[in-house]
Amino acid sequence: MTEVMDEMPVPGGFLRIRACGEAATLVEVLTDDLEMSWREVHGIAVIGDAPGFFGAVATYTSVLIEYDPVIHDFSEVVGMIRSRVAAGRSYEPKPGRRVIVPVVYGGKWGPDLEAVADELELSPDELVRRHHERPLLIRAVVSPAGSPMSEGPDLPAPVQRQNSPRPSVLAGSVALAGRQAITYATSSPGGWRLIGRTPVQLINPYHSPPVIYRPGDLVQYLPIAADRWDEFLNVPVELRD
Amino acid sequence: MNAELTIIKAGWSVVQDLGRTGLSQYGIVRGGAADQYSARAANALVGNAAMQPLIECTVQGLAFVADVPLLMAVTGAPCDVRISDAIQPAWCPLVAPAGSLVELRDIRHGLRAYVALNGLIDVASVLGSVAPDAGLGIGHALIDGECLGLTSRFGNFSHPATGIPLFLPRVTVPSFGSPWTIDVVDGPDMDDFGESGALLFREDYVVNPNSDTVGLRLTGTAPIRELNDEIVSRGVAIGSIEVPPSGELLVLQRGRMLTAGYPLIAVASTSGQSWLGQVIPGDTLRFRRGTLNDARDAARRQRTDLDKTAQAVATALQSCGLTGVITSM
Repeated sequence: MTEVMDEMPVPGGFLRIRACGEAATLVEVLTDDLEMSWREVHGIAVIGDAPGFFGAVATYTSVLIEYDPVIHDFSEVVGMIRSRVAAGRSYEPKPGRRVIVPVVYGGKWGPDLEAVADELELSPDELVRRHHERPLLIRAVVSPAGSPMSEGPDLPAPVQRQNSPRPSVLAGSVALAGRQAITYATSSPGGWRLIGRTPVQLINPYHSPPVIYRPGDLVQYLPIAADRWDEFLNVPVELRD
Repeated sequence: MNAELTIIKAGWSVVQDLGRTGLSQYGIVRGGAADQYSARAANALVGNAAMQPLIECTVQGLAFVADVPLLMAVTGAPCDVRISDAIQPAWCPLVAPAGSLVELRDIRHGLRAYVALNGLIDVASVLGSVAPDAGLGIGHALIDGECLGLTSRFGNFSHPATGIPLFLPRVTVPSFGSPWTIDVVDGPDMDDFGESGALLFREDYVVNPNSDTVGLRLTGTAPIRELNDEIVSRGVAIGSIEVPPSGELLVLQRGRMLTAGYPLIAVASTSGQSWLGQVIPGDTLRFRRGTLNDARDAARRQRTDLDKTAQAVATALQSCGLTGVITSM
């Protein structure tokens, strides 16, 4: 272990732990087993809930843990990560939970639908069908606040991002980039391709917890006609388990 | 005791605190005072807990009147503080008599000033904090003419001892203004930049106008990454200095998106982050390289210093018969 880095072997590869300034530590799992890496980092993320910690940002194969540098330091955090990994405590999501997200596809709700379909050599209807035909696995809940990032639908090629990000993407926008899918829970700048929009409310800062879905849940997109927009507008997203 | 502050001139002021924590699992950012050091100091100087709401003024000044005596302090970038037209020092506890006009003007050499008032400002907290979050549509920006409620434990600050500067608690007042020296630690991708990484510590960088609380954009000679592989999106810390392909440097602030895929050459230290919350477009930044342990030790010294200030204020208030003060945590 150096002052700023540590590594520890895990089945099929290793964990690399690096300081990101004195108030954060980045853990990356480097193995071929992406599923195992994902479970590992989401398990390690729990350290972010301990006293003196500010939280953790877990993605596919990495987790950033933030803390008060007055209370914790890198070598101590490394010890906590090692203990957790050695004890085999990885993330075990509860199966069968799914969020239902009604979507109006294309037109002004999904301005990139036609272009993306064109790039993939699919008809827009076929792209829409593939997007909603299977529920998609949420891998992370990320920025902008409350946005579920999931495995993407089955498509012939990765989806190219926008050349330059839009300064503002409407809340509820349903988007694709690379092999991933996301719904923008709040408005923010964004470089993903927009294929539709949902009227339901995904995040409620006045509710505890503010977001009801978690990594490991499924998103079931559901096409709706544009004239049903008001029926679902601002209705809290439905979770079925 | 319930008090009312009438905001005469709101400027660009918001009710603010140190930010909301424990929510990054939901993709919710911490936000909070851009200059955390000044915000903590302001609360310490008035006997408030560190996390209590205070007022953050950006660029423009502020003017208000209260219907009761106030114990207050102004920190942040240098500015003119007047109570009933008489100039008062900043970075020091002040008593504003009931009905007196309190004015803050001419914030200079930095972007923000902080006004703390002993007591609890009456603004609803959301997810444990009053910090504004534009994405979530929450936060309280002051408007001209509004009445802000304040609840204080104390009945009256008009004590003979508080009318004169009987005590000036020791507090470290930073030096504000361009050129700024920002202490940083090597980032996880520093090695990817080879020799050119050292440019970061030799060159001057200028803050672009299209900087905000999400991130600062800097113009200057950017280090060049030798590797070409893509960096997968991962969580990024506040204060991260990124080198995107465009050649501008990006310094992530408290409102940043939680994940990014740009190379991370360095991370600003905790104290550096406070100064980054004060830099004005056009200002010059110089990054000073330090070790991780240096940065950690500096953060601890700075917090210990503020705790001593808070303790000194609590002691002084108690000796005036004003008991029940909360010290900072």
